Amino acid sequence: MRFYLKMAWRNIFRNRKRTFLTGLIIGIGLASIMFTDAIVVGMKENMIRSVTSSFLGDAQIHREGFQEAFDSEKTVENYSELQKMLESDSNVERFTERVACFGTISSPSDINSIMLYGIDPEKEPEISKMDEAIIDGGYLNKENNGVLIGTKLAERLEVTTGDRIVLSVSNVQTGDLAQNMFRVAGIYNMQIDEMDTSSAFIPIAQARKMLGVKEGVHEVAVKFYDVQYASRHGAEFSAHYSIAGNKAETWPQLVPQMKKMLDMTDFSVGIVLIIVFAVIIFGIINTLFMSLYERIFEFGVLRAVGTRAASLKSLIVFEAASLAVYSIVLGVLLGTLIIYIGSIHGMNISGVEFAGATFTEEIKTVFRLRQFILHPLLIFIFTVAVSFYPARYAGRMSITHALQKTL
Amino acid sequence: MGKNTRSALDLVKCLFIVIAISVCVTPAIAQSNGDNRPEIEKVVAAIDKLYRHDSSHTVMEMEIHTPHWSRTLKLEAWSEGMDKTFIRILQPQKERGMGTLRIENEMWNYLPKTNKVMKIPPSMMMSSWMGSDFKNNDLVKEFTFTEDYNFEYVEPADAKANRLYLKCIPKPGKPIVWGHVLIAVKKESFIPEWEKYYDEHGELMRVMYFSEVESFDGKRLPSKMELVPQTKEGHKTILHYIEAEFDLPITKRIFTLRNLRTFRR
Amino acid sequence: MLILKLALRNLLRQKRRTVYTGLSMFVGFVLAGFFIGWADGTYNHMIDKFTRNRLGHIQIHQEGYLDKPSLYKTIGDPEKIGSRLQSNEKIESWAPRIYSAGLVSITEKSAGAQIIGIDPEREEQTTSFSNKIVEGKYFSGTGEVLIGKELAKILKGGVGDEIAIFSQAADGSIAENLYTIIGLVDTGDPRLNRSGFYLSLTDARELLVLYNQAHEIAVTLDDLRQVDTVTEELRGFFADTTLDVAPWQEFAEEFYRAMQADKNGMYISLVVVILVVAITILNTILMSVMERQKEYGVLKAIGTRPRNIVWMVITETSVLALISIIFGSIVTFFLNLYMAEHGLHLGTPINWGGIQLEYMKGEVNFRSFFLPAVTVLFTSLAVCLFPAVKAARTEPAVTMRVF
Repeated sequence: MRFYLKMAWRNIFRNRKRTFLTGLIIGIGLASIMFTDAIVVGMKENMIRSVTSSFLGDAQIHREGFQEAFDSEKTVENYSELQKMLESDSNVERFTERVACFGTISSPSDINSIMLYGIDPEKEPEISKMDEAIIDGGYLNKENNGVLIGTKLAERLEVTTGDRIVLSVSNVQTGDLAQNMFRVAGIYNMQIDEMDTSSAFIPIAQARKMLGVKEGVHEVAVKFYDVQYASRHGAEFSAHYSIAGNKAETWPQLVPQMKKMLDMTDFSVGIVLIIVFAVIIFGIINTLFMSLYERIFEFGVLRAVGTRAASLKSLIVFEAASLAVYSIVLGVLLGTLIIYIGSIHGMNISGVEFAGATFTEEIKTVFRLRQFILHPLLIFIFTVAVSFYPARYAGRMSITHALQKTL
Repeated sequence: MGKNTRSALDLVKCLFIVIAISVCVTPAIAQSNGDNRPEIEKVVAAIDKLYRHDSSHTVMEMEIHTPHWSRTLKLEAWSEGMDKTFIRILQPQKERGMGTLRIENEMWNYLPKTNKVMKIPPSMMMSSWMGSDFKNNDLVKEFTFTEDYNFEYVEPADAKANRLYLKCIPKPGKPIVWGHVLIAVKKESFIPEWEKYYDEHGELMRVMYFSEVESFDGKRLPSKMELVPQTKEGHKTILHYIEAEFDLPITKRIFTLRNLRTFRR
Repeated sequence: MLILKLALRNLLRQKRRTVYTGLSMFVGFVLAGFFIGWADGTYNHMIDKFTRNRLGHIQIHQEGYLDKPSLYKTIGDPEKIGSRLQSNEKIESWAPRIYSAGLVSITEKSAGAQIIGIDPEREEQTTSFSNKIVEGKYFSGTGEVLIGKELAKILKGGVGDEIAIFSQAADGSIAENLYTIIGLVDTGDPRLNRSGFYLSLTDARELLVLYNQAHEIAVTLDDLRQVDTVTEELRGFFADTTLDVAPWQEFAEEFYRAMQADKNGMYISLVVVILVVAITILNTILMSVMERQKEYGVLKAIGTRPRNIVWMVITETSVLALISIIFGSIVTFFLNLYMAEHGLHLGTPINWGGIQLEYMKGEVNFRSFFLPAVTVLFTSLAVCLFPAVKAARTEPAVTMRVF
């Protein structure tokens, strides 16, 4: 057997150019499968990131029942403990606390009801990209009485940066209405309807004072190191942090529509990969058959000098295997190169905006182990499997018949 | 909540705001000392007192004009301090019997046709001040010129002989949206003639006119108040006092949900 | 022509080689064509399902309503407009809607609600509204209301309860009434589920004093792909009115953007598929041409002009390519047609935004033939040239060397 293996290997290199060409072509096929895989992963991550980094975060923790009516009294239980847990969690990159409640914003022209958020001006920009969405004015300062509002809201209220507005919320302690004057620090455009028309952001200290919640927290927004962590280990995270009356949810739970869409993308990509595989396999089949038929005379000679049919079959299969290995090496090298370039120099699909123009980053390819193991393996298996048919044929054919084939 | 939600309670908001502002009638006829102009603090105090009262019982007509419709409502209202208000709609027929009760920060509506008392949720309650010609701050947080503004006399170009003109600027940090307010009052009675509200950029946002001074329960005050927004076309609200009693004892029974439901047609 | 005859005979002579080469072109074509048909089909199918669910393909409003909705910006005489719409063959059906907001309560608890007045028959025809009902039944008379399932939870009530609504009518008066909840709905939009309050159009009109008016007319077409054409037609139709006609790309902007992102992803995949098809064809043609180097050598030796050799190769390849394209087109056509009509049944229906996607549908369109054809033709011709030219130039003695 060893002998035939060696021979097989040497055979394919007899016609170097041809082998190289074939190997290159199969290799390119493999590389494109790897590339497609990598770019789709990148695309999905991009999609996820653009939603979660707009304001959502990868995960959120609230007090159980808070999200039903946004009752200001329902603050997160035992936040100091929670903080310690999050800080020591190796999956969590960072997190921030927020305060949220219904309220009204009024200007000399109009009054609107809004969702008021108190955010930590230092920690927040690292989790949500709000500071990048600002189109006029600047960001919030911990000290001053600045407020951030969306473009559409600013239009309705007929205000611009620097203008004076009054925010009113219900103080939970006294039951009274708390009203404070703020100045528009900046106007943002997140291209998300809800955020642009009916939300406002102020420093968390001010919000807490108005609401009378002291050190209370309504919402904890969490960011993980790995974008996919939330979708893969979401259940663990939920279970781990949904304690003491709190509820922890990851983005698939918070925006299920998004998850569904990603699932559909997976499905579609699956189909694409199948089609691409099909084309490659066909190419391989074609190549093998052609090269085999070309050498019928040669095989005839081999049989004539005594090679057994079984050995001939093995030879052919080994040749296919060798070709596969050779191609895979080429393919993996090429694929790695492409993915590497792609991961640094992303593709900018212009004209695509998903939840915010400011959030379209270039789509970069992402390495995944399976690209280097699964796909090459599949190619190898298919190539070898496909070689069985011509091998059988070669083993079966009559020697005299074979020797008659010339050009 | 969209703008539609707000407009839904247009009437109710107006009613509240109206009541709160309106029935404050402690006569504040200040005396001026031989001086050209009286002490400004006294004038401001008088204006403020026009909006203050311990209790009241009024019947009034409210005319609301919008670009799409105009209506006149006849209301009867009771109030105690700034915390308790009870309003009943008497006219027109369709709304007759509808009532609103407000106690501090809670508010309920009674709808006669469906015979239901509906509590207004806190989020909507604040929104109920929106969209109306009268503003949130007019009612819910009682601002007094004395405490919350700095003021000075001014002489506008079209000054009339027997009028005093004041310019009031909100004290820094106060949750007031206005840039400044100009007030014209009658020299002898300190009864306001008009109030002009400007935003910070100096644009006139709305004007409140006071006229038809009459006697109510022994006190003299403008029976007609007209609020005209300057930036919205076709909107206007006019209040006409028909009857009024002040600082009278009002039974606790009035400010109850039970009273809300009880209506003798 | 001699060359053509020669080309054909060459092809027929070497059946094996012809079949291989032709097959690779054919298979490449079909796979690429299928992919395009499937990708476009799925994309359009998803959009169709999503928009048919509630929004419609095209919406008509009074000018400015979409930017700043207002109770007063209404479409007068919607029924008349509707009949004009119906006369357009491309339009499948239309449904008028009325929107407002109010406060509702069943017992003590009250909540803000979105009032939506729908015409029970037309709405059913246009968006199959009754499919959204999760409990109870559809409209059958007056005084009935369907509410979002979350709203029912918030108000702590359910089917059979009486619900009061409080709002402001278009004439400024207070609108209040009592209705019976006959069913709960899941609209697929969590916000609507928390605030949806569906009345029959007649009831809504009475409540809000909006007789003979509507805020929105939703239109569905027979074929989603006609959306841009029909929008233009309608705009021309209503040019002398203040009505505004908007296609789904405008009123469902966020969804559109999401779909665009998806589509662009498909483009990348398409490029990959075409590339792979191209190199497969490249491979086969290259091999077959290189295989025949000796042949060309012989031809040259017996006096064929180099130019003619090149022509012969080109002719052979093009003929083969054309035949593959023709067969490929036929197969692709039927394949895509099947996919368009029946689709591929998904194992588990994907539930997305309240819509059940049961089939993956394909589509028959020009692109699915054009692109693969171009790829096959271009690739094969480009590839066959180089070895042919090379053979035509080299000394026969060199090319004919066997060992």
